[in-house]
Amino acid sequence: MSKTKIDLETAEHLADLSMLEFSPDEFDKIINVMENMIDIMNKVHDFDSSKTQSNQSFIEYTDLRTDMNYNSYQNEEILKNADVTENGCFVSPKTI
Amino acid sequence: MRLKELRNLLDNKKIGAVELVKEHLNQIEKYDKNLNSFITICADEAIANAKIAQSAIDNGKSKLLTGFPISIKDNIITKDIKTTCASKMLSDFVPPYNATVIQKIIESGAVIIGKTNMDEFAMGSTTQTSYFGNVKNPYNTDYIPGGSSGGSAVSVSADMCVASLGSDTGGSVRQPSSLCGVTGLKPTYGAVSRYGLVAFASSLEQIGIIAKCAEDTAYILDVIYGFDEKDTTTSKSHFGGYTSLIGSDIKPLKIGVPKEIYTHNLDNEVKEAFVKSIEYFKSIGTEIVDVSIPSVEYAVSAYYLISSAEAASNLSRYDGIKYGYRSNEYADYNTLVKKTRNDSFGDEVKRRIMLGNYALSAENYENYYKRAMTVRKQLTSEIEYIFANTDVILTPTIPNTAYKIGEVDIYKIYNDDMYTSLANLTGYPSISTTCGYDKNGLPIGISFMGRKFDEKTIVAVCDDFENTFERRGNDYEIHSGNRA
Repeated sequence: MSKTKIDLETAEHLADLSMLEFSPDEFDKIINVMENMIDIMNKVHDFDSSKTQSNQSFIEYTDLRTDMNYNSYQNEEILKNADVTENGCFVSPKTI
Repeated sequence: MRLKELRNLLDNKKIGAVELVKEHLNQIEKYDKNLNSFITICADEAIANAKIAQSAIDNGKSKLLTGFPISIKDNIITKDIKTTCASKMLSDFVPPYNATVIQKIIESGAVIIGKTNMDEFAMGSTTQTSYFGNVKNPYNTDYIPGGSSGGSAVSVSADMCVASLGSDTGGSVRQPSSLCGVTGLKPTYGAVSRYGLVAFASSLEQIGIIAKCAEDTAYILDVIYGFDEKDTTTSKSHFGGYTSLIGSDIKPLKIGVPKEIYTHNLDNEVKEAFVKSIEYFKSIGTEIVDVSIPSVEYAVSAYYLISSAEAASNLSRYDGIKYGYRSNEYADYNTLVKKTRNDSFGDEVKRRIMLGNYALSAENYENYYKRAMTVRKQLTSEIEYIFANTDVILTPTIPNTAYKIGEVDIYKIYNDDMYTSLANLTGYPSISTTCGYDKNGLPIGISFMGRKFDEKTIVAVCDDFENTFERRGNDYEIHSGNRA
């Protein structure tokens, strides 16, 4: 299989989905590395999936716990790790 | 010295808990400036907790881990102790709660001696991607220790603690254990709670144990295993007793060796040590059988696709608002999040997030992610088929020994995960120990994979092997006092 090429537009779209920003130089670099990594991942295309019945995971989930009230953390304790707080709340830039 | 012997020494007052902890803190002080295996050292708290442990011992109330200095990989949440994931993003994060495994080892009397260095967010197998600097191999500091639990493996190998908890997503406990000459156990998926393990690839990762020998890993597994209502993927179908088969006759067991391992870039010295190990099992009368994992060649690509996809999802939570680093330069919500993530994630983390989103995007989902999941299912079927007639699967841990620092080819090192990632993709338990040394004196690893929730069998086989193989020490081992 020929090497997958990532164009700048795709890389910019992926960066947007990833909530990341890159300078033009950084884009060149990451596109190069990604193409090489996708080359490794392309190996899955050689796999003959026709004989495999399902793609379900082996993970089993146990019963969910009973929905009960527990003591939670104090507000101040949770806010301790936030860089910017105001009146006992996290602070986010205005979105609406 | 094995942990059960150390337990006897402590309980019989041949050594004190404070003395034991201080001895390991001295070791850290002496060597860790160079090795860099710790991000946080909890010296004062460790001594205070060692005093509490000694008091429990004096009152005849010691538990399995009372007074044992244990290090913790820095992606396992510890209440009031910084948990950074070796990232600038979480460099000041102090959790308000303990992971379930931490709660369990504390209740069993363990003394947390510090938090260990790692690849950022556990993404890597070199421990060269940490925001807190590179970690070095105790056997030769010009070489990598492996990763991502490199700091944990080094801390055990250089006697800076008696055991360590790490995490294993594609081999991150077993591979550094192999490169640092110690023993690393990845339990069955669902055997140990992941509550409080900072998520990277949730369907693949397990908290594992690094120690000086197989018996010690099982000793600690007996403390940390078990169902946890805070982690719905933990199982109720296991019952402890992980050291119970140690010393039993392993002759009736059947050990399978996959024929594919000889065809995938296996280093000659690793091959030689591996073949010699097979000869040992043959010599004691254990049946060695050829087995086949035809789809193993797809394991690495499936592993990187699935782990990157899960990483892209799991790491989307880091926005700089609720916790973690926050950029000061922004005009709106999107630029705040982007700038925050840009400034605080390292290159490898950014690459994996980008790749994960590539694999999950509408145009690639069928061809990449879904196909990788089919490979995963096929590999699980192939391993299940082997275990219908075989008790243990034997492979080299990785196809080579440690790379020199600065000479790591990232694309080659991805392919080194071929054997280790099998256990993560399929959920089976696996343990790695040392089976030889290369021409530079660097350790070579061998792995034993077992049936699900049958850790006790692989521990027993690994223990038997360790009893006949003479491990070389390194310059950092404690040679004084009761630990000689």
